[in-house]
Formats: sequence, structure tokens, C-alpha cells
Amino acid sequence: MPSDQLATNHPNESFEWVVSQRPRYAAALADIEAALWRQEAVGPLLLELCRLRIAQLLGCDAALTHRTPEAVDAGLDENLVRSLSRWPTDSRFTEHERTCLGYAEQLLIDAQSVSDDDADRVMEAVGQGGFLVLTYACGLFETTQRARLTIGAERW
Amino acid sequence: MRSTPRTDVTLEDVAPELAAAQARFMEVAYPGAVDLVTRELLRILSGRLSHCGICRNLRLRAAIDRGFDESMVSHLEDPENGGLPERQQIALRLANAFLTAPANFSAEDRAVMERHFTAEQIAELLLDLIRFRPGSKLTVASGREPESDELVYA
Repeated sequence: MPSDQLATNHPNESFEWVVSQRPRYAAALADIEAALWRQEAVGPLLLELCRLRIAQLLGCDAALTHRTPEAVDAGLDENLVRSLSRWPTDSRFTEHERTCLGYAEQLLIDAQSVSDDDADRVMEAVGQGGFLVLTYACGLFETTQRARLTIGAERW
Repeated sequence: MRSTPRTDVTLEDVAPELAAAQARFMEVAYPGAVDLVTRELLRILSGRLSHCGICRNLRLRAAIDRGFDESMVSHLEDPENGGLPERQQIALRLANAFLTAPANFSAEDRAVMERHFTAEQIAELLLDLIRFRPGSKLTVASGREPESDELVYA
């Protein structure tokens, strides 16, 4: 269910405002997100595609309309974003992008379902370090979006 | 559960700033504004629903000392039927919605939440839920779960 259909008594509330009520903890989350977009094992374009695909699957409109500055600066292709739901068959996605998008979807469902072959394919695409970073990143994208959906936060 | 690491490297090896930030995220979580027993219930529920062997089997002695009882675990997914205080019931309702179906947490639920928890406490519970699962998924997918499926006390 899209987040704009959620009943809420706090229509002007943002996610940042809600979590900022526990300032040091919220600041630590912001530091993780900043570090995630600065690391070099997985590039910002691939991270952003995975983040947006997770947003599509969770129905998080706030996350879907947001664009991470690092991805925009790296040349995020909005045509590619518009084709995200067709990643398995759209030839504009590279083999590595398809592998990682498939992995992001798999993690969203159940990390226990990741087989050795699945992991090997991701590591072939982004290396062992990229596999670890991508795994953590997808988990973080999922939970920050779930938080937005749960509290009905409309603004980013 | 897989107990054989899939990589020769750790997150700290390849992204030290990210790993340090992750560690810091855990450090500032405690002590907190919400009682440790309630936070422990949410942590275990997250571990169970994330299918993480470490998280669902870990029991904090500090929470046990403050009233956590293993019998509470059997009603994590249906807290209304476990005899838990309403305060813990609504916190678990938040967690269940967060982890499975966010749209199920209604405005009425939010109002009940605000009767029992301050804005600071609500922030803390949300940040806990945000923090738990990424680490769980990293542990599971990277093959770093323990071989044993028994409870571990720390």
C-alpha cells in the first residue's frame, strides 16, 4: 500500500524530525548513510538503482521520489530509473546491474534464501567487498523505508 | 543456517568508515530512553522475522536482570494474547508492522503509542528497528551465523 494512503495524525511530519527526537542515535544513522555513499566498493549509481527498486517493491513513495545527490552527480539516468520494474528484460541494464538488482530483491524477501551461486554471481559483479557493502546497504535501504512507511512520513 | 563465511574479507576491511559508523550506531543505542526489556523484545522479534540465528538466540543478561522472561518470547508476534502490559503490546505491534506490513500501523495505533511513549522513546524504538535488520542480513548472507541454534547469553 503506497505511503500516501496511510492514515496519520501527523501529515506534515518528516522522517528526519521523528528520529531527531533521539539526536545522538539519529546522527549516528546519518553518519552511516554518509559513509555508505562515500565508500568505493559499490558505486553510487548501482546503489541508487537498488535503493529505488526496493522503494518500488515496498511502495515507499517518499524514497521513490528522492534522488541521492551522489547518484545524481555520478550521472543517474532517469530513463533507466523509469525502466526499473523491467530490469530482468530491459537491455539498457547491464548484466552486473541485473545481478545486483536481483540480489536486492532476494535480500528483501529473505537473506536465508541466498545460495552460494547467488552470492558468487554478486561477487563476480562487485567483488567480495562489494557483496558485503551491497548486502548491508540493501538492508539499510529497506529498514529506513519501512520506518517511513510505518509512521506515514510523507516528506523525505 | 550457514556458518562458513562466503568472503575472505570483512566489512571493516573494505569499507572501514562504514564499519566504524555501524559500530558507532550500536554504541549510541545504549543506554536509552526505553526500558531494556521492551527493547529486547523488539530485538528478538526482529531477529526471528529476519531469520538471523545470532539475533534471535541472543539474550542480554542486563534485560533478564530487569525482568525479561523467556515466556515473553512465545507471544512476540501476537502480543495481545501474551499477558504483556499494553505498553509492550503496542511497541510489538509497531515492530510487527514495521517488519512485515507497515501499512498495518494505523493512526489509532500511533495514538496509543504516544500515550505510552514520549517522542524521544518512539524515535529510539524506530532507530532500533532500523539498526537491527541490516546487520542481521549481512550476518546471514555472508555466512557468519553460528553452527549452534541454542540460546546465547551475553
